[in-house]
Amino acid sequence: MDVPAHVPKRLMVNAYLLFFVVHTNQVGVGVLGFHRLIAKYVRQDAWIAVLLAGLFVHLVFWVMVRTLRLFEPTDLYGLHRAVWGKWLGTGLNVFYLLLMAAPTLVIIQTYTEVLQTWISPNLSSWFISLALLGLVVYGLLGGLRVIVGFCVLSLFLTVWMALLAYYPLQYAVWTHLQPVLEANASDMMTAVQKMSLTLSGFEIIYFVYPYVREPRQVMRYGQLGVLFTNLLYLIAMLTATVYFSHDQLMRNIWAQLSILKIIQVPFLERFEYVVIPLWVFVVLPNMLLYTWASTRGLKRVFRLQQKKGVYVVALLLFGLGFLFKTRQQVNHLNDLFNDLYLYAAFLYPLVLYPAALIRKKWQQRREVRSS
Amino acid sequence: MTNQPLPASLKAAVTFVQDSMPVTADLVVRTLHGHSLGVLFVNSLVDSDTLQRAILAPLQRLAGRSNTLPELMELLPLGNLLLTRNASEVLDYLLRGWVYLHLHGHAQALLVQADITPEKSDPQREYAVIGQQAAFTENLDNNVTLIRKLLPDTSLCHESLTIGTRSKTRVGMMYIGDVANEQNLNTLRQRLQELEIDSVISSSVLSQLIDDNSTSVFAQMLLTERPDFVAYAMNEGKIVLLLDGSSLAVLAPCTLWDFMKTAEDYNTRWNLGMFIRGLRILAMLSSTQITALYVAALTFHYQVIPVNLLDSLIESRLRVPFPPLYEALLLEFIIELLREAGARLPSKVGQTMGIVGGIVIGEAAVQAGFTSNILIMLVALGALASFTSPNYIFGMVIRVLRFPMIILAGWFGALGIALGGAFLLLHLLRMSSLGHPYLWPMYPLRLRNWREALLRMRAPAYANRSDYAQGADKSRFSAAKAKQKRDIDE
Repeated sequence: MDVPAHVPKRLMVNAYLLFFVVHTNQVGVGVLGFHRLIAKYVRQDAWIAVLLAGLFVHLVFWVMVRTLRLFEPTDLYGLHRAVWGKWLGTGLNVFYLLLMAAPTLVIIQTYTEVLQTWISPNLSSWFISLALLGLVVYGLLGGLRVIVGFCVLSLFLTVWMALLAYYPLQYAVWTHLQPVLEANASDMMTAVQKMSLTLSGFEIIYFVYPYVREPRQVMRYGQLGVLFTNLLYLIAMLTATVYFSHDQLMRNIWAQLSILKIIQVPFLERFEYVVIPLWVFVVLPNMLLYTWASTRGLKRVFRLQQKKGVYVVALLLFGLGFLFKTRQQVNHLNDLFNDLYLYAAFLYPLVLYPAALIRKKWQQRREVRSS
Repeated sequence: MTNQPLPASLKAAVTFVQDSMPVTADLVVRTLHGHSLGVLFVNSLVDSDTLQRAILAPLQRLAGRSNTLPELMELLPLGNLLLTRNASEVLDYLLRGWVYLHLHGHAQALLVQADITPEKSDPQREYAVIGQQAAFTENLDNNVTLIRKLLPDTSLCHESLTIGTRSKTRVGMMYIGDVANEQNLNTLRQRLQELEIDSVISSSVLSQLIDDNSTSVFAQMLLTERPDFVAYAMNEGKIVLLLDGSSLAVLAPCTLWDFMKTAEDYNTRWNLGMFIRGLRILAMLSSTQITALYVAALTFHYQVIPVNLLDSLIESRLRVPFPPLYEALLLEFIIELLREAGARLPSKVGQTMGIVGGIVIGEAAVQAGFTSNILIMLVALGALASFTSPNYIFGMVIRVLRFPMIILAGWFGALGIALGGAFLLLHLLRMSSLGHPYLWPMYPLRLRNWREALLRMRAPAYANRSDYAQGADKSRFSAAKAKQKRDIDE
């Protein structure tokens, strides 16, 4: 494989669409239940953890784009090749393409759990997995532009839900936020770490970058997308904090859905029955993008036709889905994946950037010497 | 261009006319008297009878004598004659169906009125309360005339080709030269030229042969019988195909939203038009879901239904022996049967049969405890909503989409509806019309173009053409002038 990833112009997307891509990929099933995990460590200061994690994401995203600019036009697979050389680079690439296939599995498992808990325990897991993967395959065969389109439309279909915060805020107890800054630093660190994982998804820029028509504007729109995500999570966290007492929050695995339960409109009770099915539109973009990144890796590293890659990955994911039977196993998978992901998506870019800088300097020097 | 004088030589005059109307398949140039007299006219606009009887026959009797223009005027037995030296005036009159006579060596044109009044039939499929009461006929030249009458413009292009080895169907392709997108034109031309088929009988068959996604239920080209709708569409950069023997014109490229527009939207005041169009779009979108939502709610999620509504629901379903899924499918099926039967019968019988059949069967079904009142109401509402579709074929698509939606809802509840909706969205995103994205301007997101596709706004909003029209002519009128505001009492 070669370092530069040349993309035909007709397949490119406009830079402003990255706002949608980055944002929709960050928002996933996590929104429905992240509150408890954060509040567990820092209680009423959870919103501070959300803020700090958000700032951290802005920084990491900045580093990512800077790294990509060094070897433009390229993606992460090309970067690895350029920075670490043939063997180590290929090894890392294989690791990353496997890692990019994993989130889809986690998403399917988590979403299945939500469906079975809240809507109907009789929905069979394999059917949900099959239906979602079928949609993923169908979308992927349309190419990246279709996927990006789905991101845009899914945002339109779901963003109005942010306004639903109005209902629980009528019952808000603002004293729940006091006293401010009670948590100690180590707890705060843990909370920020957990929150960062909830915010993951922006690393898709590593793979989409060569497909952007105006690479100069990637930073602006990507950061805007991250900012929008941070705002939404902040609203969600604040709402949960002032609506529930701390003990209540600890008892609610899916706090966001519990909040929605109080909404009543004249023709509709139990609003969560509307929201949970609609969540298909929130999780599908993530699955599409991650699977796309994974199959793109197969194409770049092993020259496997992406059409075939889609079927291979989808079958693999469908098969792996049968290994998870209980909630404990799903949790186990989640924890394992989270540990890996924290290093791979958040800390590794901070290492890759200096390495890439050094490699770039070295290359330039060699060119000067040889000429 | 405005006050250009006519050239004196016949050859130069002919070249001038041909260059001004570069793509006009129906421009006819005749030379008489050994190339000293030229007769130019646009064939589709001229009454051939008048032309022969009152222009060509007298001229041929003159053969060989050199004359002057006044002499020619004396000769022609027609009322409306005109002498002019202005070149652009000549073009205007040509496009109004006048015949242009040019004597070699005279820098003057003799224009003779010989225009034809095109035949038109009554709009049967796309009726409009306000607006042109005209529809295309089954004669190609006549249809070209109808469009030309609405847009007598030199840049209105008309190409002609023949399709089908056996049927040899004449096809006219019309568009506005400096508005339509060159790439779309090339795509369409190429597809038409590469067609190898024995016969094409109607325009709807042709549109299916050259579309992008033949597997989809959604048509990617719009069929319309209204000349005014065609004129609006051409102003937006669309291309029109007319077939000899078909009273439906094909419009391409089309987006999903084009199927939800009518000429009526343009003819009513903008705010009313917006309201009606919005109502129609909402009706069509909800028509696909309404029965499915009922089935999902009753089968799986009775909790979503408010308590006081639940009472009446249970009451109406007390005697119904079937699960909601089968009940809904049965009713939808009956409605489809009634519609189909009504469509097949002669119109007068069809209406009574529809009403009587609907009322009698519906009433009896409820009395017999076959179905519930509420479902009958919902299914009827859904059918009604699908009938708001201005395009018959698109209405069919909407009605057909309901069946898989209902089945999904009956099997998997609200999740099934969401999955079906997601599939539909992906499908629409993957579709294109002549390579133009089908969901434009939703995706690719072009907020500025929502005013054409979805909204209906005041005239000043339409100063510039949409991105859709990629021709040289980007603006329709001056936006700055339209925006001028006056202060109080000025």
